[in-house]
Amino acid sequence: MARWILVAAAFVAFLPAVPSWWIAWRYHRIPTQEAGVLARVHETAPGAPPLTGAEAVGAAPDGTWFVADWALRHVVAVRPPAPGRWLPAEGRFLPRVDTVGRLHLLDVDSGVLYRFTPEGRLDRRVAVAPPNASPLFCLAPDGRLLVAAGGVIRRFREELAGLDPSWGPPPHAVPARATVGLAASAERVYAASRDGTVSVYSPSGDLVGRQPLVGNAGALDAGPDGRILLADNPTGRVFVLDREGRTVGRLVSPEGTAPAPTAADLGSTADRRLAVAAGRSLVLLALPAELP
Amino acid sequence: MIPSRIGAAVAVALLTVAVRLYPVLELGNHGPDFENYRQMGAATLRGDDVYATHPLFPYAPYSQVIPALCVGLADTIGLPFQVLLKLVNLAGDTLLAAVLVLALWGRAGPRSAVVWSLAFALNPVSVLVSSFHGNLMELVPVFVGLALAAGEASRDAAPRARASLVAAAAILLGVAVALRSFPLLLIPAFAFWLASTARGRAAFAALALAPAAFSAVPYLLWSRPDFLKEVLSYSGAADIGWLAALRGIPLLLRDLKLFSFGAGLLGPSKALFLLAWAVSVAALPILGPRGCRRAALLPPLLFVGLYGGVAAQYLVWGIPIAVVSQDRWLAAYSLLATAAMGAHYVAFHPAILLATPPATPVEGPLSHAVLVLANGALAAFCCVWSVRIVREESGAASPAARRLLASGALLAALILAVLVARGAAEVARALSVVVVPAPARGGVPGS
Repeated sequence: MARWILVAAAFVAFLPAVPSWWIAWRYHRIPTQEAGVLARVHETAPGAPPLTGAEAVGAAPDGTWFVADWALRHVVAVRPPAPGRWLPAEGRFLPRVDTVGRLHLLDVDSGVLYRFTPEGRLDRRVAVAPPNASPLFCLAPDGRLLVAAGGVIRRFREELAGLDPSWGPPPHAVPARATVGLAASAERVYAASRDGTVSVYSPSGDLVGRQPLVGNAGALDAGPDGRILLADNPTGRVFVLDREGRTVGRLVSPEGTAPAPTAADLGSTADRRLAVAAGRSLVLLALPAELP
Repeated sequence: MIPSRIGAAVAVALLTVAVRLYPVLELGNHGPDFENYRQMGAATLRGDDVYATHPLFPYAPYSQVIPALCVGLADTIGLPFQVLLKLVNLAGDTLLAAVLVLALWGRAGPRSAVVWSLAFALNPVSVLVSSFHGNLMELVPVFVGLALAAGEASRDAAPRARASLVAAAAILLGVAVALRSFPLLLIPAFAFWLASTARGRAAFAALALAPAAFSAVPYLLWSRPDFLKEVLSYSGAADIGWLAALRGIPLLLRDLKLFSFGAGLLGPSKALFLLAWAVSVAALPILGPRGCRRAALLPPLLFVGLYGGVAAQYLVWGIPIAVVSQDRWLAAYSLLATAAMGAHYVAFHPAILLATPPATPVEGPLSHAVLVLANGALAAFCCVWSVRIVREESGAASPAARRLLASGALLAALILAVLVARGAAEVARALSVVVVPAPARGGVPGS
């Protein structure tokens, strides 16, 4: 009897710890690469308020970062070390910039998208999502706009000339539930879902794969080397996904921890810089020479 | 005899289930901890590093599988996650209640065994933590209690069986350590109780540390920065104890709820508690085996009596030790602890006590008065109970040793008085702040 009690105690004591080894080993096997911190932007401009609720960021080809502060309800254009410039548009926006430098601001409350010329002039205003649908959007390399809202992803034709009929069967709205991140490369569209997976679509909107995520699902960005970058908002971690959406790497600070305190959104540039919107700051990182 | 012993254990187990089942199913399911547990469970299921997700989990990774299993099971069978998590507590409580009957039957007699087992089974502190709050801290007293039962059984066993039972006691105590770290402080008392040689005590301690170490090693090897950052970061909050009593004074006098209070006193009070615990460990050699078993009550009592950052669920972990020691002061402790917990929940987390979160505050002057008085009385009671245990169990010690212990207690009381005075000054500062009421919407002050 005493021996059986000892066996049972040992079973209870050590068996539940076995998964810890398995989980820690698998997590450890995800390759990490150091992302050096180039700058942490908190102050924006002399006399102007600092960042308090940086929730979204868009990268322009000229090196300017457009940061949407949802607490202050404005967008600030920053290009360190120069002082930032607050834009007049008021609201909670998602900023994205296309390859020719046109800023797109999606008002997440009204679902209206504003497009500005590289000179800063408003040239299009289009409702791309219903009001209060918490929409997300991204720009494909060919400039076409993809919008996730209300459980579907839609694609717009060039110059925002209506829905793209080459995206999915009619009504050209591809189902994608609880989308929290959206990115497009030349060959694929990626949607991270709150259920902890990333769905991969072909350019015609066919679902070609779905992969489980290791981190929390969050904002996506089509980074260099054909990789997709995933922002894990509550932890500030940045994961690297391959073309199929599999987690293949993780960016870390020089100390081996998450590179930012939080990561609500991220945006990268062709010259391998990455910006992470982290609430009270914008963290600018140097991406490694080659992503995992 | 055996059927009645088993019958009594089954009856107490059924009673344990009966008093907990309704709150498990219906009450407190919107409590503050469940979302944290759910996120932890989801992270574990997807193979994430729980420490990198900052889940307020400063413990060994051993218990991460429990929320994960509950998340997976909830998705599979459709039962609410909260209920499944509480059912884990319920299973632990039921097992312990039955085991306590069996463990006490021979030594205390049938009637006492049942009565003392009921002191755990029907204890409102345990019911609140396991079935209302749903905090997994409840599993700590379960495994501490099982370790005590194994230790008790070893006392009358044949030598080979005794060795197995002592090893089982160490491992079961080790599970409690792996679950929530704090039972680490019980290891010396258990070791002195169950092992008579230095080598035996060292072996006991090594076994008791093994489960936590076994689960933590991979994180120390491969995820050290996140693991250490999380494990070393938590210092508690002034929810229960003397600091909570002081925190409640502005609430009582001015309806001023301080969500951040006494942060500067947590460090000194932790040092005081650890110092007092170290003194209690130093006193173990003079207490004798029975005294050492009862001295296992000292860490939880000193924790509540001296430390400022006590959360409500910590009040449960000394209960099985008092039950096995048949210490009647458990009744008064349970009364004060229940009052302090209840008042804390009413003021700060009413959803723990109710079926749905209340639309309006449920607190009032009475609950605020209870919050202050019960917490102050509980802390004082725990200090007095600690002194009483040491005084009673050190009766055979030399007068010089007893005088030394008394001096230590006096010194601790003096330091505590200084800390309380500092806390009182912080209360005075909070009360001296003039709160200007906001003008009514659309109105202009003074108009």
